[in-house]
Amino acid sequence: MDRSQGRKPLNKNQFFKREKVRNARTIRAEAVNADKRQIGDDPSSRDLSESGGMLQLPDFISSRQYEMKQLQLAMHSSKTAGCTRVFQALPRRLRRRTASHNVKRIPKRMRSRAIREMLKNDQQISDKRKMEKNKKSHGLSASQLYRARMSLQLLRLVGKSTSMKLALPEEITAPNCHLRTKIRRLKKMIKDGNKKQQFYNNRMGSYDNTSVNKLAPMPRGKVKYMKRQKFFSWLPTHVWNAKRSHMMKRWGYHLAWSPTQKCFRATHRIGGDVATSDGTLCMDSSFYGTMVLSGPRLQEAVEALAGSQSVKKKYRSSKLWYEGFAYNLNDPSIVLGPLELLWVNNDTVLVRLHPAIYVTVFQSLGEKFSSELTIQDCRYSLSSITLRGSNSLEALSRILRSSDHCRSFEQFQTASQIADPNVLPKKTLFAFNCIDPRHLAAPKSLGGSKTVPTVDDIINLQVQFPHEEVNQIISHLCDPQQRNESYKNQHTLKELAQRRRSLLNSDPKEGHKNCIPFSAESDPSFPVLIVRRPKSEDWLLILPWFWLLPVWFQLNRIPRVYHMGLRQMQQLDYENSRLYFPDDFPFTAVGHAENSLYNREASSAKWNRKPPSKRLNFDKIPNLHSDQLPSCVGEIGDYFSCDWRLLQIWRNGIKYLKLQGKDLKLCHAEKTTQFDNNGTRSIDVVNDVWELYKDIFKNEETDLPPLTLTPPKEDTSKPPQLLITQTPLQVVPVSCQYLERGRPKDNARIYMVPRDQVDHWKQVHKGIFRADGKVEHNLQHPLPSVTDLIGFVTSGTFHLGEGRGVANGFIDADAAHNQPSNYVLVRNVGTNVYRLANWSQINL
Amino acid sequence: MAKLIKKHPTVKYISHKQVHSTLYLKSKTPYVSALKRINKFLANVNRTGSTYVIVLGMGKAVEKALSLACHFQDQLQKRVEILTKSVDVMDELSNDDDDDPSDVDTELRKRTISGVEIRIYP
Repeated sequence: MDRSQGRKPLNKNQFFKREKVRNARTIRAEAVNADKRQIGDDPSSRDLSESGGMLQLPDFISSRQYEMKQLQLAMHSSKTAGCTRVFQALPRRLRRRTASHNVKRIPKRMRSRAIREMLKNDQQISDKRKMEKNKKSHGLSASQLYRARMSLQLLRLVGKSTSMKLALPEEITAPNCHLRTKIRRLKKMIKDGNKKQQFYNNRMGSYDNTSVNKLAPMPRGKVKYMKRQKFFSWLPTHVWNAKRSHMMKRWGYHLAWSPTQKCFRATHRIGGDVATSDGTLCMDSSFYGTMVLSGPRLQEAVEALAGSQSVKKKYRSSKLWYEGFAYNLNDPSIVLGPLELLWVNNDTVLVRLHPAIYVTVFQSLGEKFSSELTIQDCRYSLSSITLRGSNSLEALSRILRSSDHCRSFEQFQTASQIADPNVLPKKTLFAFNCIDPRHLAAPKSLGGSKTVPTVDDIINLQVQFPHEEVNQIISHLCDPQQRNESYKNQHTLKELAQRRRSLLNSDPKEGHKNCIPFSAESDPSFPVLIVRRPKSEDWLLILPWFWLLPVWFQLNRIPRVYHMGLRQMQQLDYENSRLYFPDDFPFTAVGHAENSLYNREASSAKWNRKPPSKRLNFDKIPNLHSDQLPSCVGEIGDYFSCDWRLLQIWRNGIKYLKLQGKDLKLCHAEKTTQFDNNGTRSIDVVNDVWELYKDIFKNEETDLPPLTLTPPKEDTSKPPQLLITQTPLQVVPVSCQYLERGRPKDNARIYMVPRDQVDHWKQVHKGIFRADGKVEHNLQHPLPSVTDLIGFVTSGTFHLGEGRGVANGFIDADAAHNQPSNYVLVRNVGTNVYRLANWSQINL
Repeated sequence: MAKLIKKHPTVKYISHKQVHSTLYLKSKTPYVSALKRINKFLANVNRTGSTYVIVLGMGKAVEKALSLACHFQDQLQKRVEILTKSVDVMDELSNDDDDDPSDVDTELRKRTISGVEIRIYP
């Protein structure tokens, strides 16, 4: 072979491809007609005029049009010229890596072309049936083979016993039971058959897992996956989500954190604003624990737990969903976390709590109201789906069918056509008995009246609310027996497929074939509750635990329904200026721990991993403040979290100094000792407060959050040092909107605008312009003092809806109320750039 | 005396086709942002299956909607149709007679205001 040539000659295929691309990229030019014989003597039709380039306007326009068209054509053709395989035309969301091996991954309309392409490339078309035939048995040793066979046998036996409706005995589900014991027990059980056994009422193995007055055991899931749920239990949709999302283990559950596909912008579009939203986001929120309370001292208990607002008539009699805070039963000033509550009737209430605080609340309720309160733990017997986006109700209406004629279902259908749920009345709640969604072959919207709902219909939702009907369904939902009853005859997929096949073979005149007809005697129906949560502004679907999966599978078959995880919930809460538990709840113990332990550890470990030259040196940041503490050179406070302890001591200390009538001097020039006669630190200047913080920070052990939302108790008997470190700081949640460029980050610092600089920043807000009319951004702004620190940002980034930076955080209540303007300055950690922002209080 | 608590937005219906060709103007919407957005919608109008772009404005936004219409009609020589509309909205009212202000049920009342719909053809 002649190597001197240097280049390998193209083969036929390559040559063809290159030609194709080249042809596609060529842009045709218009032929200039200069032939005198053709155009004759008419000067107007001449392209090249004799007058030396005088413009003929129509010709000029038409030839520019021609050029544009040719350019567009060339762009269009070269877009597809490089494409060799049909699946490259699919949108990103639908691309599958296995599509190049298995044609089943490609949509049907493209499949024949895909097969042709695979044959052309001499590629093997994989077929599952053939593959299994060719598979060789692996070389297993005798003991390995025995073990494999035993576990197979176990699965077979469990399958058999479930289909005989035999309930699994406790020992089998215990994690430390031997495999052989399990098999022996199962064999015996199956042999004994009908004698004195516990039975399920269905072939699916669904049962109601409720405990009264004690915590429910983990659900007996599939025997195969028992060992994997020793410490963290799975949600019903776990396997589905694990294939499609990044998971995390928190609070005793495996939770979906975020979908594997990038979805920040998509979440904003679909879950955010209504006018542009065109779809649904759904999440399995079953990890939110539910408990049902009843008993003689119920009202007292609820008032102690959720505050006096929750027992008002508005919530108790008219079925309004309550969202508020859960308080410590013994000390109503301590907030535990968010709480949701629905009064089922006057002596039953349904409470939803975050798993981080669920067990605490459950146990303290049991202790305090031991005999007078019946508490059902429904963590594993009631499940829920949270939906967001304009189409969420419409998506639900495609899969849920009422089992009998029902007013609430009619209302649900009317409301499902409304895209903007903000028009619905505060109390929007639907409850009805629903048939198994697997009866539907394809999720389709119900036919019938397609008149769009009017304002009068919406008003009627509230006026004609079917109270008795809804009451009955919800009390069924909260009753263990009724829940268990709803699983009666729950069909297996095989049974349903059999019925569908006979339906397809039947006479086509007999109704539609999409839905297997429901018969009240043999088919199960289950109660569902659909609530619009007034504060979170999303839809919540609550249903019995083992009915979640059928609903979930059908729901995700609807086009433009996407799943989301906790990250997306957090993002949407941020975008709507709501607090997200636990990250935005630093005034609770859980939120404080999340911030000061979990997040701090994670980001400081990340920083420590980097070599010193590649990371930011927080200790040496120049021009941070207008004045400088002698012992603090760089960034103030902890670098990796919101340093609430600093803020508390800082603000309390400054308040104390002001009360003493001292002007805020940073340090004494002449005095060196900082301790008084008793050996305690004297608080005279600002630097003493900083030293006090450093003393505390070194041996920090307390778990109590240093913040409150309510005014703290004043205790003047304490010495000032303890007063400063032990009085919690009252804060207000705020949302700061940037007025200039820039983007906030988590843990950013919030400063108030010093009084003498307000005019300057007002000018900045109005805009200081350069000579060319553009806004001047390279200004030298005056710096605030160290003592102007009033808060931290818990969640902040660029807000896609507002088109500017938005930061949610907390600021000192004192400073918030005493400010002349609603300007604040926000500074990211480790930078010395201050950004002007407008703050507004977040309503709780 | 009933007290106004909240004004509800207009009723919007689900229409996949219209989501990408309808612009709801707010009084806050910057003029140029609306202009850019309409241009974007116009470029994609064939792909979304609609024949024109709808710009809706009511109340304070009517003037802005009309000035946008003028821009597209005069500067860009587009065909523009202007329709006036009556839009039903709801007000949430509370009864002030109740003793406890934090414990009042609310009711909805209908109110009709005028708005304008502008259709811009590509």
